[in-house]
Amino acid sequence: MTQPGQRIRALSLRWCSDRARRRLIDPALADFQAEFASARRSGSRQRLLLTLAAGYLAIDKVLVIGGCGDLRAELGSWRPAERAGARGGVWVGLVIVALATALLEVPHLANHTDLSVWPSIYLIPQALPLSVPFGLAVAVAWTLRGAARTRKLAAAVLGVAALASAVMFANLNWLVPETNQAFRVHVVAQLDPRDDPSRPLARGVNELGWSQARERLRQIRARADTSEIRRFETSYYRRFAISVTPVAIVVLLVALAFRRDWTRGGLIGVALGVCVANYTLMWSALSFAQFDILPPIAISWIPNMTCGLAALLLAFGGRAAAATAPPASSTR
Amino acid sequence: MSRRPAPPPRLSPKESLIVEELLRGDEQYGLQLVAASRGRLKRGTVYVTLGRMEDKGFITSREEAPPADAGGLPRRVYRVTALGRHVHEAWNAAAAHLAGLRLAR
Repeated sequence: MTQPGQRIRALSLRWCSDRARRRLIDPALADFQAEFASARRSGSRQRLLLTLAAGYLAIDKVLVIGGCGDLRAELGSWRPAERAGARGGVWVGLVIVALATALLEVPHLANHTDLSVWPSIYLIPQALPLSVPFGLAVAVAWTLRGAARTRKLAAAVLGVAALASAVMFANLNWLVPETNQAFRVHVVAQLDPRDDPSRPLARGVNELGWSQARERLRQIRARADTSEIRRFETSYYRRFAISVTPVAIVVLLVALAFRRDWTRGGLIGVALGVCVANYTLMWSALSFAQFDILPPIAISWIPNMTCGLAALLLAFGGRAAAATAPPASSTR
Repeated sequence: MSRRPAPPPRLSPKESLIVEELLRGDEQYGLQLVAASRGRLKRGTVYVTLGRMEDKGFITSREEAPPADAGGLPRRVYRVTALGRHVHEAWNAAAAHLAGLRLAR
């Protein structure tokens, strides 16, 4: 007979300590399975569904509490391999972000040899949404292997990814619009010195802050030009989706790192592949935005959703054979 | 140099409730305790409390093999220990004493 919660137990075997599993997760799962069996015997479909919903909700809570307890216990002590892995990952990540940001500046410098170099600083914030996930992905691949492939480091890199996402959100919604506009004003002034500097330069879509973008969206919706609405909405929602990209990519890489024993080069190759695939998917999805196939919000989130779904499949796709096996110890 | 005395055992309201329920019956499952508490214990957190109480030595547990036809994981049943019973009694006595002091004021 198929028991509910088998995949959750398989997940707990991989992620939780023996103590948390024996004390929290297994007793909760065993009670849930017994309750489910009783509901099934009753023949009431409604009771069965309610049991499943309440049971899974409770088990998820137990799993989170167990995982957090494990982490709290572990975070106090770092092994040398974990410390070395974390330190290496931080340096590699910083170097890659710096290099990628500099490389993204090259096209501008090559195309505008007549302009001075220092305004390129204005373009750094808009390079970060590409260079940060890229650097983070390589750093994760550098860190999570061998003796440093531990839950503690996985939690640490997920925390760093969440922080990067928060920074990215602030960058895209407040910093990039201002620096982009400053760059445009500077370029216009250099190209046409006779232009009246007191006349404000109209802001494009990427030069609008969060509140300005919402206001512009409201105005466009009022005009009811469908194609323009779709184009603007896609651009608007893409900002939020790009902010979450570091978390989406890192979640997938963590799931991949724990899936098998990778060589460092192999995992870095996979990390680069994930980044390229994510951005390819993003730009391909955007080209579909002009067609009325999916709502713009869905199109903008396709790459992140794909990463999240792939990570879920990898995390839950393990063998669930151990889910009904009795645990090692029977009595405490 | 005098050594500091060990802190007295503490019993939180939820732990007290669990001991009370366990004293009513012999051995109980976590889910039975939740049902008996009438909403005061939640099934998402009762196992955390039970685990903590085992650490303190207030309760003990054993695994019970599931019926042959049912399958599934072995269920864990909990029972109160002598220490748990004594702490509960002492805690209740202290609470009653404190309540008496407040009334007498």
